[in-house]
Amino acid sequence: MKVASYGSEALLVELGNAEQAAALSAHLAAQLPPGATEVMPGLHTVLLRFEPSLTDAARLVHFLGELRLTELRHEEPQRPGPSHDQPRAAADVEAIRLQVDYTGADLAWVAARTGLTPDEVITAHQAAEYRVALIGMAPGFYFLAGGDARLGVPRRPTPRTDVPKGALGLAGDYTGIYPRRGPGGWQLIGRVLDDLWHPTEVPAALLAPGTLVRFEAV
Amino acid sequence: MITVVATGASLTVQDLGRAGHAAWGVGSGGASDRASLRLANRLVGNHEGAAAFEVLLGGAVFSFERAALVAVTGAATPVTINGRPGRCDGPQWVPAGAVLALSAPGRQMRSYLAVRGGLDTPKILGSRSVDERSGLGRALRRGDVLLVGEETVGLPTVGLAPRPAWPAGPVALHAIIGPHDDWFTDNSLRRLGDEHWVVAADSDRVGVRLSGPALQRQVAGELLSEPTLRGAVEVPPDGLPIVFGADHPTTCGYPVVAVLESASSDLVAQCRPGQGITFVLTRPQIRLTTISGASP
Repeated sequence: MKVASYGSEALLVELGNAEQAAALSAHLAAQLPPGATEVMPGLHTVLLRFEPSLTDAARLVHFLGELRLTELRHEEPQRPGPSHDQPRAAADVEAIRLQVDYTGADLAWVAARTGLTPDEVITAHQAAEYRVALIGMAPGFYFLAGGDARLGVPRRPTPRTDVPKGALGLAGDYTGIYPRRGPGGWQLIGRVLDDLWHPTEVPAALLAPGTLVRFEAV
Repeated sequence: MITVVATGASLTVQDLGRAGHAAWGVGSGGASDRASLRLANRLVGNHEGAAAFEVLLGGAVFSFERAALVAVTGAATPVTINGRPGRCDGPQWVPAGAVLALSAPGRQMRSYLAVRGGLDTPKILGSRSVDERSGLGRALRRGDVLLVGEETVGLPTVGLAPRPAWPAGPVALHAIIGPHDDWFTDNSLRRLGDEHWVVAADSDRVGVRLSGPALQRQVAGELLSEPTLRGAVEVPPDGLPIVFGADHPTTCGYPVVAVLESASSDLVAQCRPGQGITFVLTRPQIRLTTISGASP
């Protein structure tokens, strides 16, 4: 694992892969190191915020150096951290099925780019099982890992200013779901019909990181 | 009860934000200039994190049904109470039925109007801060009515708070280099610290955009989305830095060349378009290091 100061009040930890990052994130959130205030997950990274009057980056690096990453996955969280609503991976459950209207504005472009027909894109996208890798960028924006490798496409060179609520997009190795209307640069292949974001509830996002997801065309 | 008579360019309720929800993609948000919000609250004997009005470039007018103790901090805006001159940076009474108006400040962007007791608006995810980008609450409109809460911690003890004058020349922002400084050429990193930058017009609560000598990358490729913080200086492909503000996205996909110190994050939020900026760069406590001993 690599570490680097992120300003004077946070430490960026870079892991080798998403599983390690998720494991470290869950471990730290369940048991914050002394002086740490928040664990922020990334795809392959974890950002650990701390109170600079209570600890410093060097002490946290020492703390991290003592952890044995290979064992983290088997550890159950001992107690909830101060952020009582930290997402927990849903283990041993069936994939949640989301209803999709596969008529996104970039479906034809994705088909042309990948050498598939639009129907083949839809079939390939539905065939895979996905895992919520990260909620980030905007509230409730889901990064889903585990898609068909043939569907890997770059983002749009210029983001759209208006992406509809529930839009389902492709970028890199990920499928993304836009929880609400707004700007966005992913290649849109459809729209999820289920409402996945409730800002006044805790937790506000319905799918916790680690949740398994499948898509079904309607 | 306080009624909004006029909003000016943008009028929102802000406190110190909602920490702890980044894992759901919800950022901290909160006052753009936290130091000024804290000061306004202290001046009226509130809890430091009580909710207050954040007023962009003046122009806001309020009608007070009951007498209230208030304080205005941040951008120094001419204050009037029923047409008579009020003041900034100290507590003052607003009589029952009076109208308080904030005119356009001569410099800086945002003023804070704290009311003794704090503003009692509904909390969303633990905070009253409005984050319109995230769809958490909305900016205030003419005719909105707000209740005053009971978030006091004691009686006001200070009559007037002195504060540093706004610099005549460029504003110096203190930043710690990294974590992705190695993505940029040495020459670009030198220019980041040596040259003047200018705040661009399309800056907002999400980020302050800078124009100046575009930074050149020496590493191609894309960054996997990483968590980020207010004050992070993100550099998109065009090489022009964006300093993340209160309503920044919780993750970013571009390299972060430096991260501002907390006080400088407050300062940059007060810089108007056209304001000159310099970066005072400090080396980080921990440079990018591989931890040995940890497995794997």
